[in-house]
Amino acid sequence: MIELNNISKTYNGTVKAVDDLTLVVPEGQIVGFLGPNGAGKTTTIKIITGILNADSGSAAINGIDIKERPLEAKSQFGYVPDNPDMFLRLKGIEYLNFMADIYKVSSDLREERIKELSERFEMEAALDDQIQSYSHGMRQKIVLMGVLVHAPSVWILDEPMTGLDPKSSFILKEMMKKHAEAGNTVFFSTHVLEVAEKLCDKVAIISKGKLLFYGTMDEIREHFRSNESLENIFLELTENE
Amino acid sequence: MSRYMVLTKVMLKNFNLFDLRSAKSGKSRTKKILLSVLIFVSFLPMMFGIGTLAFVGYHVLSGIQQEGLILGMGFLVSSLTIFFFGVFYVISIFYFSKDIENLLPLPLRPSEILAAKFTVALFYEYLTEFIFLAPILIGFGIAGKAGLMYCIYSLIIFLALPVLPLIYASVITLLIMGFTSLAKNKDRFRIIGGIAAMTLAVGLNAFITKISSSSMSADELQQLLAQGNNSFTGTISGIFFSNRFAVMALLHNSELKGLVNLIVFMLICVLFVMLLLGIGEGIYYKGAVGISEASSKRKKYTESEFRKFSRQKSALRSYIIKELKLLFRTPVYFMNCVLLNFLFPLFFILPFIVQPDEMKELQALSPYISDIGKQGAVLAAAFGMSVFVASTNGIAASAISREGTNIYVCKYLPVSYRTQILAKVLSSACLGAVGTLSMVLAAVIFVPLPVYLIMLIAVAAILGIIFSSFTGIFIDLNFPKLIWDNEQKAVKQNFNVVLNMLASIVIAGIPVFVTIALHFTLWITFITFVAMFGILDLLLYNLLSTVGVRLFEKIEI
Repeated sequence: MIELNNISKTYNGTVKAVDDLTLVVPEGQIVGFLGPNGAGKTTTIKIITGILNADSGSAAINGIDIKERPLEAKSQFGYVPDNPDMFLRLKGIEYLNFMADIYKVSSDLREERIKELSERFEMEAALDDQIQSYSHGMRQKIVLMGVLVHAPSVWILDEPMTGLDPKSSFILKEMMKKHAEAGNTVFFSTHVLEVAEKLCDKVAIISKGKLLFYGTMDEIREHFRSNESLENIFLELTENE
Repeated sequence: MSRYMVLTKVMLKNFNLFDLRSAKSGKSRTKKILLSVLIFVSFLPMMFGIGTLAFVGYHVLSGIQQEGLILGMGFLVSSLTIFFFGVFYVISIFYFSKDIENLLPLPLRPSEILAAKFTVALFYEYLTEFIFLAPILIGFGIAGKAGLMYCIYSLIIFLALPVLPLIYASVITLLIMGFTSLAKNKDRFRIIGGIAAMTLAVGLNAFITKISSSSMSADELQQLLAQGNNSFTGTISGIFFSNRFAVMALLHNSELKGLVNLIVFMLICVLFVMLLLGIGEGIYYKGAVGISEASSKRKKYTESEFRKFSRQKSALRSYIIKELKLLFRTPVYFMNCVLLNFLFPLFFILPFIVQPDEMKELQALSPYISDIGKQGAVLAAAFGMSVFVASTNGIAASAISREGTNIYVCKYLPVSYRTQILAKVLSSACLGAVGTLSMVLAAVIFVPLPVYLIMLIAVAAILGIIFSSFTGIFIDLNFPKLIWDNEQKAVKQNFNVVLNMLASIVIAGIPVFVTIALHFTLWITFITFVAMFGILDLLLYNLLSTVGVRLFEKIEI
């Protein structure tokens, strides 16, 4: 579970990136986080993960406040950032083991998981190469595997589908569904409205740092009394802002 | 031409040494400005010293009409320094800069990109030159009661002097990078290429100086000196042959002869720039295209290999290994931070190998070292050298800066900031210890050191190295330089490294000086260092665990 209470964040004292945002992502659900460019999605995610400090308000993962007990809170989630260009001079296998060491995964468990994940994402032959030799999609996959190797209950994914090939994208979506069905939390941002429409139990729409709408797809249609696609509703909603 | 101007302008936008633009709040901006002022002030004594030397030298040498030697030497040393730094700058600006991938698809000629990048490198060289050469020109000018023409000529020469050495550095690098692009493991080849470029450069200069000096007998030399009329200046330019024209231009600035020399000097510069652009047009892209390509083997692991990799380690150990791997595998970091620790003793040994006569002198030191009364000084000197090497490698003082925009990764990992700081400090101390170790080994080749002395040196040195790593990371936590477009900016063009060098040299230098001056015995020296730096290390550890952690927390990008 992720809880955000009245989060605000201002850059340079002028630009309000996140404005009094309150949001609860419950267990057992996939929640999509939508909004136009510069709406504050990544900033919000960075506040949840402890990368940025909020000016006011609080964020908690599985009931643990990120500011008060940061290490415990950080152990609860796995995070896929929007840019997978990191640790480029480590080999894939070294990166995965680094993550496993950081998250204290035992030798046997990690061996099993790395084998399984690399097979699933067809990365077995890439593990011995440095990450800088990977394509964008492969980098995305290795970062994703770095999350899955420590099997966190909360997944926080920033644009996770970008750059993935159709098969990997499909596998990821299936994994997200399974993870939520098992009673875990999945929170991800996306620009691809069709994905959100098909995959999410709930969507949160944000624009200029403010939450415009938060609910299920049915609720959204009911709210706007329309049978329109999410795309049209989204465009209307963010246009009028 | 206009495209060259536009390109240069854009590239120079990133030329902000102190990272002022990325300072968000007014407070951190003030902090950074204060830091810049502090660094400038700390260079003043050295600059003043160089200037005074030139001033005094002028009066001494003008007696035998050889005052031009001051300028000749000044230009030579500046050219060598510029050349040496130039190799680093050229490799990183021409090839490892992130902008290269964005520039390649644009409809630009290779020589246009090269010209713009050359200009950027030139600007960096002006900074170096400002510290070394400007005081000489000023000191010389004041001593010679120089007029307006001297000032104008000096300015022109100041601006044009780095051109030739930088072109040498560029051409050597262009050639080597052109060839290494054929290699499969590019990172490794580039590291080797960089070392080769530097060795070639230093060797070439030594060779030419040797030829020009050995071709003259002692008698001839004396005759030349006695001739007066600044006859000597021409012989010491080495490979930077155009320097003699610059010297002549300055010496005869009120005559036509001076103007002619200046014109010749400038013509040579222009000619070499054309040459560089010509060569660059042909081979620059050979090395630059595909610079970010990395080789892959596409190899699958066997069961036992999997098992080997999967052994669990503590977070701290894993973090240290990660730091070390990145230092060894990133060519720029390897050359700037790692190589130095191994090479430093080589600088020390090389003169003795080249000139065996001096080796005998060194071996004459043996009885001195076995004299227990003198061993205090040996320990102090070894301690001082260790701290010097550890602070020069800049690993701790750039530990945060090297993370760059990826600093956010440190933020979401469930590892306390204290542990992360400690891991960075220990990786720095590790390589610092390697520096000390190779130094001791190098010394043992020439002079047998007693085992107990080596042990005492090791203990004291470790404390000193840790001290310098602590101060380094503390400085870097205060002023992290996270926005950079090539790795060179994180380590070499990072004033945190310079600041830590200065701080370490001063703080460690004082006790070294005192113990040697007061003839402390071995044990008193040892106890002094261990007590002093043991306490300092503890205090700094506490400071890092409290203030340091808070600073780390506050870093946002």
